Amino acid sequence: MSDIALPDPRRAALRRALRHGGLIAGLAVVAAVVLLAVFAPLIAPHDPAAQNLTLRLIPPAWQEGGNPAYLLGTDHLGRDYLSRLIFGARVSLAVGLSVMVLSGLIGATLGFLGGYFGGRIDDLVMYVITVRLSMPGLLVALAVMSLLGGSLVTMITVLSLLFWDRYAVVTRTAVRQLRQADFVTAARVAGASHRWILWHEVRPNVMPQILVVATLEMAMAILSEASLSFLGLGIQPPTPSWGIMIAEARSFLFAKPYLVWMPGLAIFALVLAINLLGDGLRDVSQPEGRR
Amino acid sequence: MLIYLRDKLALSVLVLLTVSLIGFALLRLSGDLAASLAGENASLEEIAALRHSLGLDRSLIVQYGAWLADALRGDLGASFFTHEPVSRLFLDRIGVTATMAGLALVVALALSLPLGVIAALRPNTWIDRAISALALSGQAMPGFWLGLMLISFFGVTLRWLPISGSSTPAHFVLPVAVLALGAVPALTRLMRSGMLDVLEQDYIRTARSKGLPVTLIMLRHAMRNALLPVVSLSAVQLGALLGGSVIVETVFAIEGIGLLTYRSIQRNDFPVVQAMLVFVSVCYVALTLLADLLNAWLDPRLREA
Repeated sequence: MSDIALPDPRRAALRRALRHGGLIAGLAVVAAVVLLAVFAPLIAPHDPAAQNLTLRLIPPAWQEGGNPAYLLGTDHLGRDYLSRLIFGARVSLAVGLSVMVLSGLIGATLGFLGGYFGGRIDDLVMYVITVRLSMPGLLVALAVMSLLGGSLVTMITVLSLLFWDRYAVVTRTAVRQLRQADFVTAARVAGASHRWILWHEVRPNVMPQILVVATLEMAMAILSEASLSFLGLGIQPPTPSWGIMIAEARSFLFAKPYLVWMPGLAIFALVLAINLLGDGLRDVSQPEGRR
Repeated sequence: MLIYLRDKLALSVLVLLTVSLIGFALLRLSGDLAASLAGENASLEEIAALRHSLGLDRSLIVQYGAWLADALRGDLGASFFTHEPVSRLFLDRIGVTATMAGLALVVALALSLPLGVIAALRPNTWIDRAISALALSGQAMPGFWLGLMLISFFGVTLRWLPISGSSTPAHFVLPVAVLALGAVPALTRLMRSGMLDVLEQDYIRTARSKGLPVTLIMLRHAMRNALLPVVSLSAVQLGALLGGSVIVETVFAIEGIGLLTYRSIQRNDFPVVQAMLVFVSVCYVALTLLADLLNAWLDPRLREA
């Protein structure tokens, strides 16, 4: 009877995505950094750890005294700055992506439980969230990292155990609203188990909002890693992390400010791109209004 | 209202007890405090003696109970290194940090409220997008890096401002700027979305159709209601500013509680770190409680929840 073609919501979302400048720009930068990180050994012109004290503090190639073989110059130990920046992307992305996934698992699980079951369970979940929010995240991370010693694994573990709160809050609110939805009631009447309903009916509907939080958390994790490593309590040298590079360059802030500029710009560009991606995802998944 | 107040208060106390216990356990269980304090060359006997003299050989619950009993009487213990009372170390430095955090919040609100309102009044225009872009950029800027860049530009290139220490008001300009810029993006976004929500409400339409002047509608009707969530977030942000003081005070070499905490963390000065964790939590909990009460007083519907 009715042969009116209903617009496929996924295709409509894709069309909106392709027209969204910020989303495309963010995606392009993130993709570029991922490629750099994955193929770092092939792309980097030098070994990021190779020291050469006769080639210390060479300025970037376009400045006087620059050396074309060291495009962005060298640091105080004669290590190629460009190569260190490229390898530094690995640390940032490893921390960002791992924390995004792990803290997402913790936070979303709590949010699903509290939002879906309500009652006592929800009270408990809310209490856990309140306790977490009342703890100063960065301070706890600093103190624990200092005692445990900094490594990539401890960094990821500590940040994941701390920064799940936004996932929990957003998921809980979204699931709460869905709990009363007709299709959830229908599924329950039809005899579906809670687990089935959560996975097949509720999860797909809150995924877009969780994805937006995921980008925010990834950005947050990258910034936290940089801060902790800058303070000397995160990833330890000689691993090239952008935060460590800034800490090491700090004593040359007056003579060689570009050594501080460059890694900071790298962090800024990556985090901005991730935020643009998140903003774009939200616009595309919730076209009815930008909030 | 009184029942609401009592419940909120009881919850806050419970949250604080939990937070202090978790902080205590984390600090104690994350490593062997006595071993790290004794240094690399200490013998096992020396470590054991140190552990005993600091009371670290007692069970965790006993240690926590003792700490809590002392803390409730206002005794936060003494630094492992300088042996000064933690409360005096804090009192000597809290003024600097609180001044910076307070100023930063004022500056942040002075920037983000107008920006948020302007963006909400002209949604999806170039000015709204420009403000969004500014907020996004601010969010992506690592605070410590921004601090170093400001030092390099205003302190070294232009030589306008001092770059470290806290002896004159001019010393506070750069650190307050860094702290404030960290809080601006979230506050701006919240103000914008709050205003957008309020502007859709019926009473705004009524006020408009009555022909009230737009400025009056904005100030009397819209801003007041859009401010509710901003009040809550400001409380959260003030807590975050205290935490952020660790980074800013380290970069600008300011002798506040942030730098004190950083040094204490580096040398495992447990009583100081524990006190700072609890202090920031108390500030956060007290401020959110205050914001909750303020909001409940302004909006009676919230008292039911």
